[in-house]
Amino acid sequence: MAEHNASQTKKGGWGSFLLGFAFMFAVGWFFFGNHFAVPPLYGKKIQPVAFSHKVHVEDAGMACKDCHYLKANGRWSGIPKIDKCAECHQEPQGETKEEANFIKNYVKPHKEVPWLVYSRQPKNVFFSHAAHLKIARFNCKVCHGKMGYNDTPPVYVYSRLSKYPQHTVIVMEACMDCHKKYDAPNYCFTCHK
Amino acid sequence: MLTRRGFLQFVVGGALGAVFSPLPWRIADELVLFSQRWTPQGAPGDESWCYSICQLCPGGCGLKVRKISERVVQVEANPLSPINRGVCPLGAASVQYLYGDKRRIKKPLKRTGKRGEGKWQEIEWAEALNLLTSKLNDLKGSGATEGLLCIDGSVSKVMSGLLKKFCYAYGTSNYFHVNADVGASIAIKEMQDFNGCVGFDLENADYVLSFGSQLLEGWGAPGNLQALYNYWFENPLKPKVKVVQIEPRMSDTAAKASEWLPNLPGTEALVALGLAWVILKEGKYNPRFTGDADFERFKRAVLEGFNPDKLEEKTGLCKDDFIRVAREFCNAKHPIAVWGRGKGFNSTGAFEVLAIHSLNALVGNINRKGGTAFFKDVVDEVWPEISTRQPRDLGKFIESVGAKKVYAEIALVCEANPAYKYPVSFGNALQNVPFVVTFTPFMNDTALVSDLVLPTPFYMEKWEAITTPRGFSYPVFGLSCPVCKSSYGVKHPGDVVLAVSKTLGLKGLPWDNYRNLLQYLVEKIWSKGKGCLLKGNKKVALPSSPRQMWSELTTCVWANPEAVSGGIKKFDFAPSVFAEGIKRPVWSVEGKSEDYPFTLIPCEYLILPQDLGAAPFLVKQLPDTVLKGSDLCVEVHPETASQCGVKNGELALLQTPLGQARVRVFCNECIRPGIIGIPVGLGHKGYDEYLAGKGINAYTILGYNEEATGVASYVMNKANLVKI
Amino acid sequence: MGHEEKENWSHAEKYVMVIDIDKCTGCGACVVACSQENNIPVRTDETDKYMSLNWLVIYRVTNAQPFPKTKVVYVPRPCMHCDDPICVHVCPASATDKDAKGIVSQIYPRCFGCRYCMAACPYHARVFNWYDPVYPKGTERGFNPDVSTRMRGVVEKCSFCNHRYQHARDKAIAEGRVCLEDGEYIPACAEACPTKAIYFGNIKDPNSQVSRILREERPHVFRLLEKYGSEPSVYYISRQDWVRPRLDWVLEEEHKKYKNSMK
Repeated sequence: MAEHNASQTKKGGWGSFLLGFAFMFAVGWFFFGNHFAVPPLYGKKIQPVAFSHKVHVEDAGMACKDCHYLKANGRWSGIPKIDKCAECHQEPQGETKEEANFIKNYVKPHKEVPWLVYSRQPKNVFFSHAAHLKIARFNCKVCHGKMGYNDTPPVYVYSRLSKYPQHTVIVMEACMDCHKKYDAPNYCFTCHK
Repeated sequence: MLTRRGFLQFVVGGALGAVFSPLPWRIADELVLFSQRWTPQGAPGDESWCYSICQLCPGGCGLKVRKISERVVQVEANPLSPINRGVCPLGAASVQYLYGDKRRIKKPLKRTGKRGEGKWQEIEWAEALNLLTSKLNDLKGSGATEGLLCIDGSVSKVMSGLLKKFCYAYGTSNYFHVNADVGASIAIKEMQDFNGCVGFDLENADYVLSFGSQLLEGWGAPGNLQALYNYWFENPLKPKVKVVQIEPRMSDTAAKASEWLPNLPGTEALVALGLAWVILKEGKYNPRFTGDADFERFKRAVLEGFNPDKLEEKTGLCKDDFIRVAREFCNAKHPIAVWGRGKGFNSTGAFEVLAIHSLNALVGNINRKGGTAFFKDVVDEVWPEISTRQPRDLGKFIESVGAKKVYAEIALVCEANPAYKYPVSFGNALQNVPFVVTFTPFMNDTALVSDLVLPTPFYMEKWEAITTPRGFSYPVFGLSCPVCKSSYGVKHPGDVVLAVSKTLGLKGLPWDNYRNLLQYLVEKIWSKGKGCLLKGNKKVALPSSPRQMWSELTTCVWANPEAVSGGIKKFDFAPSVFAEGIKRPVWSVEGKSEDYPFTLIPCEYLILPQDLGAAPFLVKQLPDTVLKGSDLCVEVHPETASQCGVKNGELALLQTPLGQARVRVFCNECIRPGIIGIPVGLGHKGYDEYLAGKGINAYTILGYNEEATGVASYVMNKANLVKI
Repeated sequence: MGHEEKENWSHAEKYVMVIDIDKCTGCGACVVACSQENNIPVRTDETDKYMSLNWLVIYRVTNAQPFPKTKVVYVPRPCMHCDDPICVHVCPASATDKDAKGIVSQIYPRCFGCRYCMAACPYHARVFNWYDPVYPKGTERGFNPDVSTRMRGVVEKCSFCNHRYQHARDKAIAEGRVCLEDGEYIPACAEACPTKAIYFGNIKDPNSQVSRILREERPHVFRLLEKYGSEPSVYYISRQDWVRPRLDWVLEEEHKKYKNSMK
């Protein structure tokens, strides 16, 4: 009798425990891991224009630095302004509907595209493209991965609480690890302003 | 079936499961990011630089303006400017002036309530111009054109010239510039029969005798004086100059001068003549201007009446100082005596200037290297019809308007703030002026009591020409172009004046807009072919076309260092001003000494501009010995304070024959005993919450003293300090 | 990477400020320029100087002699950027550190406002945001985007306008240079100073202006509270004998010893 009770207790107890473990483990990974990126914590957005890096690089034969370059004063040009796009896209270059829409919505009214920046950093971060490109001689891929080869822009996943992008953003820890690895300075004001 | 044990195990298991999932870490991380209290940040954009000229005072500092996209974010010195090497605090605060929404006026305002009540109606420019034109037209139609009173505070001589021309064409002689040094122009006119620019070649001087001029705190061209200070004292152990500051209170200038001689307030003329006595007695004067009958008269009068022995008590300086300084002065190679009390925005006495300038004449240092320089400003030369009349005293005129001795129908105030500078008399005068129109970028004290307020652009938003900075020793001309688009509904006062005169059909103002006038002047300067372009210290020949000249002038300035020619027509040591002034060579003060045992003097600070209210950054920087809470602090010697029974930091009642005010007491060894120093530049009614209602307006209790020559100015008052 | 790349950027940098007290006229342009450059907030009443927030303060120092022998000097006081910064040692949040070029740097949002650093700093260079930052309405348009604004509850201080270094360095890199030229990076206060009483530059470069000035004026150079051993990076120059003892609270004998050691 005693033996029976003991085994029953043991069995039932572990079951609840495992159930609880499995349940919360699943909930945690599903709702809070950014792999699935589901509400309520995460939200998804689509870029306002279905820009294809692939078309520009492979088909049009452009280089990264045609649009993203280091200015003479050492600052990074960032995402090109609509003027830059309009240099080629005053008239449609292809036959896609996206391009026609892009010209209709942004180029003609001369309106800046509200791009969603995958690597948007907090407001007190200073990032020097100059130092990473010219001193560390990094390739764009080191930080931006395959961003320059995609055909459709990846879905923009962001946290609804903090409003920061999730997948492609580099967090401070990653910056610091890399700086450590390459023996680069790691002081507050190296990257903060 | 759920047992208690089962439930607890589920919870523990769940907790453990959660720990092995991103849940707690993500939540913690997100909460950290979420709870950061991010404050508004500057929007990023492309950086660009452009040139401008500061017009917050008549100093004309060249500026380099930093812009991010279309936003102005910082000002620095223009390295090509011959005037300044850095900026002064006012210039540095330009961005706050530019974007101060609560000070700037957004649209033309028409008064709807009672005067000064603060009820306004925003109207369109067309309506505002109609209103102004019809008022002016009515007055012109009635024939009483002298009823137009124009109070000008423009920093640019071109704008002032345009207003003068407008007044003459309209038919009124009542044009006043708030910063005109009436006394000096009378004295110089009588002594040298000259009317034009007075400059001081301080750069080449080696002995500077300053009669209360706060050289480093806003006198002359502040940016230039600061740069000169660096030049003079490049090696402080071997300075290029000796600066002697004669002033009752140790201002910053006195603190940085080689020597400080604390005289009694208002005795500058006596001190100068005491020094002249020593020079005359010892026969050390330069023969350049001496020997005439007028000199003999001067000499006799000075030797008779101004023996330093007798002056010791009157001036508070000892005889030895007189003799030593006088000897140093005439033994120096390039000595110069400088007038203009404080910042020089209040008139100097005519007799005072005569006394001080006679020192310059005694050492023969006029129109010479390191001396006083007399020349025609370029604008006066290319546009001669604007410089015909002597400046008159605005304060007295306003008083007579208040007393109904003079008729005034319309007051046109252009970028000036007479309601602050003449708080009592302007208030009285307003009752007899039915229509007051104010051109101003800021809601200042005068705008508050006006009937029509017309917003003008801030200097970064307009085309303007800057001529010879105050006190500069040769003519200069530069252009300041707009660096940003105004976000307010402003119009250039020059454009308005030109448009109005066109509608009124006035003659002699043929320009369509203000820019055309500037182009006209640039062409004239170019076609005269004199002078050169100054790029830093480099002299560059004039460009080949007026067009090129125009574009060059937006980055550097035109100057004519050779404008000062050696000879002057005449020099009269003892003109009629001398005869009048010698009767009573100090300023008249009302009140009995028994009731008011102390003397109240104004203290001027560089960070406290007067007509133009101090920007928030400047107010922030005021020491708590000037402003504490909303209480103004007066500066007294500890001895004086103990006489009154008040302690440092305590509240007291400052009484003068003109009224009383509640102040705090700041005890300080840097002021003569028996003297109370009151900061000027606070107590504004207008502007924003950063300035309005803080402290008191010193001009309400300072006396508007009169010299025997009839020139009046704010110099001092009798006062008492009573413990509350 | 490592060595090859490291050689690309010269690390022989240590920035110092030299303030010539005899040339400072106390005008306050440096403070206003600093405030404008660093987006410093202004409350309507800042007359309580203990609560007033400034990165750079000008002290008025007298020789404590009675009238008329009184003398006055003005002493601008930025952060001293000590080589052995006491404030950094006490920070429990690792929110501040000393970087290789000599600047005591800080991450504002990382600070949780314990104010140990303020207590530790002998120069009162650190200030605390007691309030949410407020700016005169409309002046947000004049914000400098290179400096982040700080939130309530964090400590802040002068950064030697580090953002100017960041941008000067970027420019130099873009132009293929390996070091900054003298005068290429100077803070807003030194830039604005109308009498050029503030010198700024790299002390490791023997030809820089600061190195030259410090060599030439050696007998008159001192640092504030040097005896605490925090090795400040801000040097003061005054040729007037009374200034240093009044500024520094050194005993007279100490001062004499110091003077002798310098000669």
